Formats: sequence, structure tokens, C-alpha cells
Amino acid sequence: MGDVLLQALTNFANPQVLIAIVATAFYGLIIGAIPGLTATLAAALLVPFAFFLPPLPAIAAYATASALAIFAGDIPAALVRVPGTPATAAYTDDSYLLSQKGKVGLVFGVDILSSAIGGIVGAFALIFIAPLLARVAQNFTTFEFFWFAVLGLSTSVMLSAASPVKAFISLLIGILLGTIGLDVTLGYPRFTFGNPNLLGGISFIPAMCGLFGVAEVLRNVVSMARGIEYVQKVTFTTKGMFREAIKVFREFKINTIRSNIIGIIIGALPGAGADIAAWVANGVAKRFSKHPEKYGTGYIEPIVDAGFANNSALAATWIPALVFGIPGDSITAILIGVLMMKGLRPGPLIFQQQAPLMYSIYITFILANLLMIPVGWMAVKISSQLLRIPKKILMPLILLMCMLGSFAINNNPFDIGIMLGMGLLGFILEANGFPVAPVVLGLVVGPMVEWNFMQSFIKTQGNLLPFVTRPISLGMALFTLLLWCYPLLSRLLRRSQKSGARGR
Amino acid sequence: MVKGAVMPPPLPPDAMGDIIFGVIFVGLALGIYFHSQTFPKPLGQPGPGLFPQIVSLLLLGASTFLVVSGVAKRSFRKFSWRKLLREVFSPGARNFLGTVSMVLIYLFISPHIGFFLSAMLILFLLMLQLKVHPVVAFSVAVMVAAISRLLFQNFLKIPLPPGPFPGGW
Repeated sequence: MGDVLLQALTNFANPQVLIAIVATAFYGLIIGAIPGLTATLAAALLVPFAFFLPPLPAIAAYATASALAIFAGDIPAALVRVPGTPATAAYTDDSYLLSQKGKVGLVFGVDILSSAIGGIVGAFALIFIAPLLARVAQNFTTFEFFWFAVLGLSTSVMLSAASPVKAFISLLIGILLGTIGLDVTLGYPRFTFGNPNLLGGISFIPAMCGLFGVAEVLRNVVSMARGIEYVQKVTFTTKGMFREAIKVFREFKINTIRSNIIGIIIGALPGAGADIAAWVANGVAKRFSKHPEKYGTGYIEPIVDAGFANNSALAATWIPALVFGIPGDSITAILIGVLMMKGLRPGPLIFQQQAPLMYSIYITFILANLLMIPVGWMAVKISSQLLRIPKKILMPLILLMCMLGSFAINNNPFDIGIMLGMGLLGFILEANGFPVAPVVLGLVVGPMVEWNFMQSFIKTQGNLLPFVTRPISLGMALFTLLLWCYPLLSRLLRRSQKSGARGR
Repeated sequence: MVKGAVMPPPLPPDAMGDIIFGVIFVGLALGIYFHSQTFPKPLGQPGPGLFPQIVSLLLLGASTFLVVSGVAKRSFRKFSWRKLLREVFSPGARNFLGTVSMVLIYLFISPHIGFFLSAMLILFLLMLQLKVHPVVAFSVAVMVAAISRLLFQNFLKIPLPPGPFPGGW
């Protein structure tokens, strides 16, 4: 191992590798910080450059750009309420509301450090437990993945500060929106009403830009006319932001450990990825929180949990990609393509045949996440100037960014129409107490639930028993059920404790 | 101008809103359920309609619960046609419609006059609507449209609608 590590370290003497890391750190940061542009887009746009680069700089560029872009997605979420990724959607409202209360520095301090530490923990998981986790993940079939996706969906209802029924309805609307387009079994066009633009379904980028960004713009322009201006000129200082963040981490020590573990486990599962990791980590955290009622109202705890989970998951998504050649998310799907392009075949043998390269990838992850701290600090310092712009100028700019982000994903103006529709939906839903984050999660995870459910249903010819008779599946089903029943159980427990105390 | 409000003021609980939305979602769930039944169902396979049908039944259940709990709450705000008309013709509604129209105008004109001119136009008009000084509105609109064009078209290579000026501006 020592020789291989030394060989891997000498790879970094090549300036091309270091230039690739630094350049793509800024590149990922810019893409991620623009509302509507995602880490996936950052990875996709790198393909032509990767073609001309040797394997290590190319892979290093991917690892760095995706890590920085995922983190940078937190910036527009906190400043203008447009999440960069579905993973950020899990805590967008908390980030935004906290920043509106003047605590932008704290939000960004937590965002940067949790992302960097989470990413480094994920990288160590990749180094030490990748083969073990990969072996466990091998036992997962569509039944287990179904429960995983259901678990991810359930958390959105639990996380919501609104009424659980309304959150559940929002989630179901998202899942139903996710059924638009060609179906997974027969390729039959559903709810497209003859419109070819809907065959591919509703992309989550225009949906996110609409539900969060456009809805926020609409709400602001209406309130401006009423003479109400929500806190705009909040004071922001980067001084002491990391010290504050470390204080928060000390307060939520258990959360940081638990969320890293959740992130690694979920990231290691093929097809799950950082989005579900952030939602599940938050759902679990809320269950054990001392102040679950503060979730969704501008509270720091969900940002801590999801920040750690999504970045540790990001490195862990490379585990199934490298071990089995199965992408953990869309970024690793692109990565597999790049590996193949470079003549590297992902699979168990890659660890033996390309050991120095593998170790170089691990080192890249650690370097990229360390680099995140100074680069991220610079980025938040610059982008926080957005808060100084008067809202009557800022709102039209956000609208244009949302339109550009929606258009950029498929180069299709139809997606701007989707964004507008989703914006109106988000505005109406929010005005009536329905949360919008579950709609996004339903849209993203709904197709995964359907795919795993239908595959299992077809495999067993309609027999639903394997969903609860396979050992892992049963365990996950029970865990999900327990999570659903927890409010009822805790109420019953509290009531019996009260009556017991009175009896004494 | 009232400054310092942190959150949009929460609406007072109105059971009527829950009932209206509950009824709309009941209708939506029934519509999806029956429409899904028209999807093909190959022999021995569940077909593409099964999943939407399950989800629509769940939506039907949750929406019915919303209606029933709304009726049980009995906390209805007094309805007034005058108040409704005042809301519809309020400056807030005008700003709302103005914002929505700008997106529609962009969709309509951008294939003809290109991204730069259409983005500049909608930004300028929307800022005027929001009472930004015309000179500031124009300068910001030109600058932001130009930077966006450069960033997306030249740096990110995203093909934005071309305009009549040299270089597709």
C-alpha cells in the first residue's frame, strides 16, 4: 500500500493535475452558484475538455468540479431561495429564512465546513470501506431500493413545518408530475396529451426554478406593491463565520457523525445519491431533534445534517461507480463515460490494475474538499453582495436567471413554460399552506419508486410478499413504518407517562 | 415602506381554503384515476396505469381528509365580493400579472429578435413596473442581458436564440 500511495502522490507533481483541480474548483463554484445550473451540468460541460486531458487530470477535474458545484448550490438557496440541487432543496427554506434574519455568515460557515468535512469523510469511506459497502450493496434488489426511495419520500412529509396532510398532498402532486412522459414498463406516453415536449417528462431543474425561484419572485413583487419589504439590507460579515460554525457543530456533535454515516451508506447504494442522503439525514435528525417544531422556519440543525450528508454521499457515489460500473447519480454516470473514454473499465479489477490511479482519485477528493474552504469563503464573500441589491432590481434578475437555468438544461424554450407553470403552482400552494419542497422530492424520487415497484411487481407476477419477506427489505419496511408511526407512538408514550405521574 | 418583516405574514387559518383546495385535489385525483384506466394493460402485466392509479387513490384519501377536517374546523373568514375585486385590481395583482406576462412575452419574442434584445426588454419593462428609475432600469437591463449572453452563449456554449446584430447578438 505504501508504494502505491507514494506513486499516487508523485502523480501530483504533474502541474497539469494541480491546474485541473484549481481551475475546475472555480468553474464548479461559478456553475453551482448560478441559480438553476447544477453539478450535473458542470460535469456534462466538462466532457469536451476531459477528452483532451490525460486520465488523472480528467478524473480530478470531475471530482473537484462536482464537489464544489454541490457546495455552491447552497449559495443561491440561502441568498435568493433557488436551490442549486435537489439535495439543497431539503434545507433551502431554513437557509433562506436564516439569511433573511441576518445570519448569512453562520449559514455559509456551516455550509462550507460541513461540505468540506463531509466530503473528506466520504473520501475516507471511499478509501477504506468501498469494497465492503460494495459487497453489501450487491445484496440490494429492487425491493430494497423501493423501500429506500419510500423512506426518502417519507422524510419530506416529516421535515415540513406545515400540516402533514398538506405536505403529503404536495408530495403526491410531485409524484404524479413525475409520472408524466413515457412509462417505465411499456414506454407508453402518459399525461402528455399529444405534446412531444412532455415525452421525456418534466425536468427537475425548471421545476425547482419555478417552485422556489419564480414563486419567491411572485410573492415579493406582490408584497412590494403592498408596501412590505422583507428584510433586505441584512448585515453580512465573513468574520468569525467559521468559529460560529464550529460552535454549532459542537452543539450538534451527534448529528454530524450520524449524517456522515447516513450519507456514506446512501451514497454507496447505486441510484440513490446525495439527494436522498440529504433528505433522509434531515428526516432522521428531525425525529431525534430537541426542537423539531423549528424545522422549516429558519433553523440551523437541518443545514448541519444535510450539509454533511450530501457531501459525504457525493464521494460515496463513486463506490458503486468504480466497483460495479453502476452510477450512483447523474454525475457518476457521466464519470463512467469518461473512464471508458480513457480506456478504463470500472469494476472490481480496477482497484488492482489501476491502484495508483485509484489512490490519486482519493487524494484528489481530499484536496478538492480542502480547497473548498478558501475558495468557498471567497465565493460567499463576493456573492453575498447580492443582498445589497434592492429587491425591485434583484427580483427581475432572479427571474431571468431562472429562465436561463431552465432553458440551459435541454436548450428547449418549453422548459421556460414548465418553469412558469411550476412557479404559479408554487405560489398558489405556498399561499395556502402547502409546502413546495415535497413536490420537488416527489418529482425526483417518484420515478425511482415507480421503477423499483414495477420491476418487483413484474418479477414476482404481482406477488407483493417479497417486499416484506426478504430480510433487508423487511428491516427497511419496519424502519419506514416506525418512522411513520413515531408521532403517534411518542404521543401515546407521553400520555401514558403523564397518567402514570398523576397516578403516583 | 414597512421594513423589518422577516417572513411573509402567515395567513390566518381559513378552513374555506382547505375545503376549496381539498375539493380541487379530489377532482384532480378522480380525473387522473379514470384517465389512467384508459392506458393499455397487456396480459399478465400491471401496465402503465397502475402506479398513477395508486398515487391518485392516495391523493383522493388525503384530499378528502383535508375537506373533512376543514368542515370540522368551522373557522371561516367572511367572504366579501368588494374585497375580492379590490384584490384583483390591486397594484400587487398588477405586479403579479406583469411578472407572468414578461415570461410569456420573452417566450413569444425571443425566437424572432434573439436573446439579448428580448432579455433586455423584459428586464427593463419589469423594473419599470416595480418603479425603478428608467435610467437605472435601462442600464441594468443592458448590462445584465449582455453579461448573461456572454456567460451562457460564449462560456457555457448554450445556444441562446440568435438576434439580428452581428455575431448573433
